[in-house]
Amino acid sequence: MGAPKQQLSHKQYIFYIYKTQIGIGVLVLPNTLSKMAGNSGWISLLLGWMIATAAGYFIIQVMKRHPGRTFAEVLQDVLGKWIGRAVMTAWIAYAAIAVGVVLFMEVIIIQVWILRNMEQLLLIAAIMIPVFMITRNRLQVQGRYVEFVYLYTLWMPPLLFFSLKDSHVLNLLPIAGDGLLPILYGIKPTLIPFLGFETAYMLYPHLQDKTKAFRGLLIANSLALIIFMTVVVTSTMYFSSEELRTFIWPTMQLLKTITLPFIERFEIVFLSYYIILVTQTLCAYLFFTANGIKDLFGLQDHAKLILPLLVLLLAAAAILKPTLEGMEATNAWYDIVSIGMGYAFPLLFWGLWQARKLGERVLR
Amino acid sequence: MAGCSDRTELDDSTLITITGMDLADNGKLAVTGMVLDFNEESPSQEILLSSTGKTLRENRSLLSSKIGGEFLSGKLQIVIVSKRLLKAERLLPHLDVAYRDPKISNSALIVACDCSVNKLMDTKRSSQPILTEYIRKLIETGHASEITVRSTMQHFHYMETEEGITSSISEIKPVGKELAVVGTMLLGSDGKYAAHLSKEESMLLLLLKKQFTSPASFTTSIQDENHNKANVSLDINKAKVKVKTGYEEGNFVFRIHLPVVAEVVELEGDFRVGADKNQIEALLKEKLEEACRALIAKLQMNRVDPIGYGLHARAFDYGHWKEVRSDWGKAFAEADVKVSVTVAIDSFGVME
Amino acid sequence: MTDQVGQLPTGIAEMQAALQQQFAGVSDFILKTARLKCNGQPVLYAYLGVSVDEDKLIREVVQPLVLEADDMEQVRSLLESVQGGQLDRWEDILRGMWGGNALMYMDKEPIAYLLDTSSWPSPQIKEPENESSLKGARSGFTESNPTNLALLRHHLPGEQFVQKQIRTGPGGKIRVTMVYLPDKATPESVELLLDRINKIEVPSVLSMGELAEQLEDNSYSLFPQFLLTERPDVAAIGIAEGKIALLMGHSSQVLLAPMAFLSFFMSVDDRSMRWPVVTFFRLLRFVGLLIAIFLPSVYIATVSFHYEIIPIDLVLSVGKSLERVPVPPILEAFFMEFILEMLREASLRLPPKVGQSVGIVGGIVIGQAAVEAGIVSNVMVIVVALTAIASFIQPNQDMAAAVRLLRFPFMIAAYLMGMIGIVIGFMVLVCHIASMQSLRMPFGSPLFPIRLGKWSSVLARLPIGGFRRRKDSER
Repeated sequence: MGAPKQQLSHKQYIFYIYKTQIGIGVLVLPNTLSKMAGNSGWISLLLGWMIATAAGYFIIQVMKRHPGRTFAEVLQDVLGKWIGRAVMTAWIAYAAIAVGVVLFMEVIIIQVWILRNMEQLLLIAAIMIPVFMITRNRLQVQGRYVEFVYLYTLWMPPLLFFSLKDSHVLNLLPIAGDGLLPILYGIKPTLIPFLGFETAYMLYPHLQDKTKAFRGLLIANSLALIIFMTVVVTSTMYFSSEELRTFIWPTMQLLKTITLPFIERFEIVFLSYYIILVTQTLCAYLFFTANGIKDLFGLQDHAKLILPLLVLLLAAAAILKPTLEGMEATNAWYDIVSIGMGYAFPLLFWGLWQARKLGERVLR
Repeated sequence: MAGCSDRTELDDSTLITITGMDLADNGKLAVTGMVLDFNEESPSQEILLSSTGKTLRENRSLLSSKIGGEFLSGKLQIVIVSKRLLKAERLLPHLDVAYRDPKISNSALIVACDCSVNKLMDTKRSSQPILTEYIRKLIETGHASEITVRSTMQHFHYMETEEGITSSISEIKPVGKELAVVGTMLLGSDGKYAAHLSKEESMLLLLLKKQFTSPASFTTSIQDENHNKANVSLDINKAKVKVKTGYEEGNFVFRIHLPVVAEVVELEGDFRVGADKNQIEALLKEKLEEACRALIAKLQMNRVDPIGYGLHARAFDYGHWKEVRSDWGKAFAEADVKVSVTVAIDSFGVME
Repeated sequence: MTDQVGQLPTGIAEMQAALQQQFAGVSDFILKTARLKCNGQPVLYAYLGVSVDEDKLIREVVQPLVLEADDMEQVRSLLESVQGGQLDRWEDILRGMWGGNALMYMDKEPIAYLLDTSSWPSPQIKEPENESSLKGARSGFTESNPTNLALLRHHLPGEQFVQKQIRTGPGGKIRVTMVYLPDKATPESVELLLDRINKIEVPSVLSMGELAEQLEDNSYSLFPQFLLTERPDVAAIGIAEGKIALLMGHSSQVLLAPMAFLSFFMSVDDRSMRWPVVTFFRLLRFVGLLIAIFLPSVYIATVSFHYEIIPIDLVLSVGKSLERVPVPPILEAFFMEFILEMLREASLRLPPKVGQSVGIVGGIVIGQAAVEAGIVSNVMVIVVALTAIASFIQPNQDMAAAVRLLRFPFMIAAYLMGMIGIVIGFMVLVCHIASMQSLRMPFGSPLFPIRLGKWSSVLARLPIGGFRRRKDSER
């Protein structure tokens, strides 16, 4: 069933997951993290990375034993036809909401930072154009696009080092000054930006080299960790702890001070260019949704589903009229949902799968 | 398309480049704004506006009513604050509107002036670069030659919100037809005016803050063998600052070690360069230590810590820091700060 | 004689009548009869005088038949040695004669002979004017197929390439020659191209560009997917690299396929110049590409939306320059770009001497008068001029035209949404290139998919054969 045409090379798979992880999360991470863990957030981040990698490991462990089966089929194999389908529907809903949340958040950030009076629906529709063009293609073309995203955004993270000249290394000390508890609380906000590795469920059947699936996921997680770590450490050194807690988007604030001889206010260029990264996150989840529906109902092609999904999303935007305050409330519960889907589910599913295997062996 | 876009054609907008804030006689905020003048026929390139109101935002509306075009503050370059306002009120709440708006650049320089802001901005200058550029250059070169600090809006926000450091901003003053940098202004933990540092003291402050760009010049007078006063000037090329933090008898202890590599650029008096090198170094060390101690004593007396020893205290002795974090200025005043300097002269120039 | 399709008239008199009726309005139609030496049988030969080498016809065919051939065997073998085909269908005969062959018909034979005696005016080999190069070959393709093939062989000495003649289109009127190296070209591409050529449905193709349009993968795309060249050295390099070349007898251009996006930014001179110089030039071209596409739109976005990013020293001068101009920047830009394109188009069609004066008029009108009159701003003139120069340095004209056109949608996007609009447009562009194919090969390669190994050969040029130092010159 794993359509042979939709093949993703190892490199493309790594970039696909990695660039899905880099999205809105990075922009707010220093803020959410320091609220919990103070200046020792980087330790929480390391722990978060371990948890994300472990969750990824469980994903691959299950998918590995069902080669050539799509996620929807694996779910039905393990959980039975109806429960499997129900769970798949939940996943599709989760991914669809993720598209909406990321898209609305992105548009709100653009409105706050760049185009204050721009009509929201117009912006949403404009961003949907490239999303539509990319997602309706074969996975192979999407893989190419991801490579482009990776390569053409390489220049962005080093810009953070511009802030180093005004930074205070001492801000990082003392390490764990307030004990371990804040660090443990700090794990929760770090789990959100790492999300994106769960697309591996959908990607696995399309991989060229399935044996390296976990290695690729590990590399992707680690690349994301490097970016998150850079962001967290530089902003901890740059901002006072009170600033970190009050600036909603510290990463943007950090970029605000970059002044080149010919361009001042670099964050405007940066944020505009940043849409490219967020688009990949959108595409990944939209593809997850469309492909999930395709697999669930045994359709031929995911491409026809993209347009109706985007129209639905646009309608949702027109009805809901997302605002920053509203989105923060949405995020609060959606974060919990996504931790459930991205972290608890792989472990649970793996456990069920193990139990089932054990049961079969006993029966035999 | 007009309704749903925020297209603001550059030539239809009024860009404010300098905002000056002063305390009006009735206790309100007097704001002076400098806007760019795009009109080709007008001889000057900028226009001075002023108003008086409760807050910066209210004043902005008042200012914008005096001139056509869309009033934009995205290219704000300089914020000038009078000493009078700083003595009376905290500055940070006034600037809240600027920090809250992501459109406003936070690399605008914050400058204090020891006169009324209106007088400063209205000074008829003999040379004619636009005032924005003029003040900016003044501060940048002043900072490069170590006679004042350079604080942007972002730095200022950091210094105000960080518990372990107090604010320091550059200070200028009209001198005749020109403006001049006069040193550094220090604000206390309460955010109000605390002390003034001269240009020489500013140099030492930058040295201790590790913010100096070499060479930093230091001039003093030492006594030669015949007990004659001799002026000597140093160019400090390299300096490290090592701080050891301790806690003794209820007070923080900072041991500051300052190894300096310098070049003698001016040496009066009866010295033989080769033989007396060690002696000169010892004399200079004494002078530098003396100056540093005087500076720190002045800081402690005014209960300010613009160098940021609070960061050291927090980093290396978090337990005790937590007890004093609410009023670090007071704790610093009681702290025991010891300064030791070593001077190594690497060159006396081309004369013996 | 349209009702006689398929059937040859029998008998020499009927044939003569049929031919004369068919070619009634053709002034250079010549019809003669003669008698064979061997048996006195009458033969008829007919041709169109302009396109046939009469000398050759008389010397090689008619004279031997009438004076030398002793029996029918000799006559047949003689005819077979010069024949262009033995035909028994009327329409084939007509096509052959229009195509420059002479017809020979013997009484009571069921077939006619087409004699390959065509002689088209063969143009001189000239330097290709539209693709000039500093150090490349001085000869260009002509409008004669044999000459072109000979030029190709000349540039690829000793290579044994496959040379396929294909007739296609309804009625088989389109003749294409396909040339490639069998050990270099990918068989799938050859097959695919052959298949596409065979499926052409238009009745006639006049130029190579028309043919390319019939064969390309994305016909709605702005970008050329095949390279059309007048230069034999370019074609030869392409063939040697494994590309397939298509030639048409009456076109001085040769089509190369499959192509990748980046190969449109290379010129033949790249091979004959020092490698560091070439690397620098390539860099220049890619920077030029970015400027040509993005500069006007970035300028519009900046002055209309993001004035904050202009450094303070510039804000004042840009603002003053804009203050005098009554129209918004987008109109200004469109106005200037249109005038520039018109000037370019005008100088292209005019004779060179008049063309120069167009340049002068354009330069003075746009450069000075428009600014002084306050119709456009100084800055806009600089922007447009830079853009024009950047698009002129592209070596391939088709690609340069695509790039020139591309900047208009980007300008509109910038006007609507500023930098955001530009980035969205950029993503659409990238997605388009990433999904494009040339003969089912990824068009964007090696950019997307990334093949870093190939970057060194595309973006930079390293010495051919690697870095080395000759030992024998050391003493």
